[in-house]
Amino acid sequence: MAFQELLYLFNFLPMMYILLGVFLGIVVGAIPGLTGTMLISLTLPLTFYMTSKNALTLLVSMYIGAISGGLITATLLRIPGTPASVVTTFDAYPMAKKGKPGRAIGIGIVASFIGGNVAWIFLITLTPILARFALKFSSFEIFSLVIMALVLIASVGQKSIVRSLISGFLGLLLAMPGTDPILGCKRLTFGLDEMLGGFNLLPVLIGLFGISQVLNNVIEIELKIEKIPLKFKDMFLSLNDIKEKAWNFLRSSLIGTWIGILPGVGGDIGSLMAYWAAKNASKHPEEFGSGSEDGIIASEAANNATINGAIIPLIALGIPGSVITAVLLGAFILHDVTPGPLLFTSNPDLVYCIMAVSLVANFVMFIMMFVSSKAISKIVEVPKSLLLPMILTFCVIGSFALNNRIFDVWVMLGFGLLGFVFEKTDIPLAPFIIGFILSRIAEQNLRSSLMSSGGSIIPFFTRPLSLIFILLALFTLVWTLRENAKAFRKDKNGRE
Amino acid sequence: MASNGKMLSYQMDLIFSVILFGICIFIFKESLTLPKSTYEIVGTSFLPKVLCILLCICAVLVFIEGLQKRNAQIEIQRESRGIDGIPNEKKSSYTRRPNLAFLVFLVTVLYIGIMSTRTVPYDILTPVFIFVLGMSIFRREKKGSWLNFLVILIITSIFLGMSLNYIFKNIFITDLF
Repeated sequence: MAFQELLYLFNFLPMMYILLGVFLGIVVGAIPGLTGTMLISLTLPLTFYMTSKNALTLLVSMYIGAISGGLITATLLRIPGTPASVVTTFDAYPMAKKGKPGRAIGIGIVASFIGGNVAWIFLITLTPILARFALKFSSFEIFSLVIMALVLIASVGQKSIVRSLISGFLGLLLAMPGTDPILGCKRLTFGLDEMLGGFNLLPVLIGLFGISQVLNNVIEIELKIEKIPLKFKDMFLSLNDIKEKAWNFLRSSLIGTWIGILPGVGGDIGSLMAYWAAKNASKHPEEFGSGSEDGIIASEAANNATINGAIIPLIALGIPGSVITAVLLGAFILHDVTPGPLLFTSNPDLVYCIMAVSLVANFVMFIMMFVSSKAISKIVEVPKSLLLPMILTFCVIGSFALNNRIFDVWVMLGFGLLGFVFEKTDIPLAPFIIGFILSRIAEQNLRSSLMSSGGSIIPFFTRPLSLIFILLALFTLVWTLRENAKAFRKDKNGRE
Repeated sequence: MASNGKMLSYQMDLIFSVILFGICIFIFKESLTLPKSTYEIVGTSFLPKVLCILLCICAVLVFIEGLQKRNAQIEIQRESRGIDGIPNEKKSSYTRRPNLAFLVFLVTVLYIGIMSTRTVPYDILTPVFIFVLGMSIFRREKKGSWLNFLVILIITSIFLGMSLNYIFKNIFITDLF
């Protein structure tokens, strides 16, 4: 069946979706201020009219393109096109400044390609095993797993645990209005009939990732960017170049895959961890930060590896491994597909299709990045004054088209404002979106567990797997609180 | 407000925490009115109540953090005052434009407001919206020639408005009025 799905992608329509998805992903990933999450959120309404297979083909291709495209602006402008390319700027820009922009981008593209393929091997081998294992989960384990996922995303790589928790709790709370999932009664609808179905996921996503980003871009509209010109012929590497750095390619890809699997932790953390590992293992750590090839390899191999890594828990457990996979989870929901262990039996063709897309889109990305990097580096010069009004128009029509309701457009605008406030108060968006999406699963499983145990919470601690998830969540929480307190004390002492 | 018109981070923290606290109290009060289940132990109001309490605690923590930041900021400002008493702030290479963002938001609210009345057809309203926003942002961005931009903006706004109207009406069967 897996091979059939691979062949299916070579039909005209799916192949067009892959080419279009990767291309749009690279372009949006390359434009500073626009992200893959925003692109996928804005594309979601257009996928209603596609089959779920074609929709996911397009969206997964966009994901791969968007993470890879960030490399171009990170190298030529020192502005990461996506958060996942922040670490790439450390070495790619200094290398470009030294007159080697082509080589920096070439190394980055090869590293992205290798990272994606190494992680793909784990995607096809680990996902079925994890899904079989997850079939044993009861409501107790599922609730504990969701809590662990929320704590992990609120803790890892965030500046303040309190702000991350606010984000996660608000996400959970704002998913509560509507009809109660167990009793079927109205809840927190404030007398509005439109609220009976709660806040629709799509306007929420478009608002958080579209509107808030447009507003942030408008504030910084006068920021002028100086670009380094790129030469096509300098981008190619020799086989010896790759052989010499083989261990770094592999290690960074493995780190990226592992970080990707962790719920809610995305490419930015993956590339940072791989960068640290590469620096520690290097014979010339002093070169890191001033144009080291190893630094670019570590960052790019890891951030592309997180893509397939993040898809593993999404398919196997129904828990997103990154913010973009949280939006992809939204795409599953909108297409009436429930990701999780049962997906292998209910929609095996879709699972194998996603796996095949990840492989093919990675190859397409590799070729497209080499061929079009020079042209794409020019697209970033498109005036924002032309781009931003168009994005706003797409935000409005995308939210409206969902149900032909103007209420959804107001919801989108409200959540856009919320996303903007989050940005200004240093509150991360990732915990919010994961909390919002997982809220229903968490509540249903908590209440069913309590009903089956007669109101006792003891089974959460007596069932081994549930206990492991809770202990992991507790350990992460305590450890992060300790680190936050340490940083606060250090900061205070520094001031004194 | 800071001297450059930008709201300081502690001010944002204090305002945000107070608003968050208020909203949580309101939702908590609202969840007290939810019906109780006869067979279920926790009921429909359990999670909203728990989340409101947790959020209130977090809001208080952010408020305290905001107060600490304020004290620290006052000290830093006192230390960094120049001879003329004006803070020696590190100047950024560009000016941030929060007012422009506010204007963009306002124009969008107006656009949606007019859309909801269904008085102006979509293929007229949308090009006007794109044109007004484009020109407002271009005044600050100043990238390329003014005349070239104007021509491109007019063509793009008309093309986008009409094509979106056509696609959604005829292909996606969505009534855009």
